Amino acid sequence: MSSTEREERPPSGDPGRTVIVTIHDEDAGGAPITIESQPSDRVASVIQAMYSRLNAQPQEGDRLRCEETGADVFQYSGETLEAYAHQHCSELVWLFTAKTGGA
Amino acid sequence: MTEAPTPVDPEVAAATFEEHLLDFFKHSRPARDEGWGHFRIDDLTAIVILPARRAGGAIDPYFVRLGAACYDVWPSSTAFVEPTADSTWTEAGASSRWWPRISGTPFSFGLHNPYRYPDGHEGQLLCFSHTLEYYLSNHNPSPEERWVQGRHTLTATLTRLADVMSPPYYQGRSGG
Repeated sequence: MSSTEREERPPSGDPGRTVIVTIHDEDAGGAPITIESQPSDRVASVIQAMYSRLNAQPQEGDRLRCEETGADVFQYSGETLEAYAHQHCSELVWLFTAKTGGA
Repeated sequence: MTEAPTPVDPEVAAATFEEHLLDFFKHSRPARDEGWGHFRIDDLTAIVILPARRAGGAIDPYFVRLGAACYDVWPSSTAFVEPTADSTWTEAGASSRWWPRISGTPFSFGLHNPYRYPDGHEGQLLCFSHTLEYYLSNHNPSPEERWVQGRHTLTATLTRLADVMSPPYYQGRSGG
């Protein structure tokens, strides 16, 4: 599922409204995971939930990008999901990869 | 020094390779784009058609041979190949149109052709930690870079290639 919100959504600002972030693990493959949050939740909380769902620890060199723009997600950790989706990544589909060695 | 790759049970390797290849084409982001395809050479070898995208949007198709003799304890062997007159495949040379030019990648990555391996043979090296050749070339990855069975699949290999075969990193074909 790539849409950000349930179809029967209440008006914006309703505390019962949920937002769904879809994350592709581009190391392991498989179906993407989805994380349900509130619009007022911080991006950081979704990132934390992502690591928990992937059973992974944050590591230097991890990459987390917005699929539609390619922009780094970590830099927006302090923003609310609502603001982040509005300004930076409206589809809320992310791509995760851990560090890659080589050169 | 990292442990040297060795072949695994071919039946297990073939089954895992098949499962993960189909998974890539079912779920992955790159394979949703037009131009991707794959076909099998044998149980342990597949050719993936990888559409490189130029900055202006034009598509250059490439052929990537994946070999699963050590999969998935180790990543697949990975090489850019070109078709031959007798309907076989050979590694693309450095001046071949089937060998890409890539620069300024967003993660550690390199292309070397030819590369002299410690055993003396020369061939391509797609130098990143999700190819078998990386582990055959005296590299010593950090723990977070290292291929981990059960954590990485060939989706990791192919999505990294898809990334570098896109703007602004993909610079076009080497030969005319």
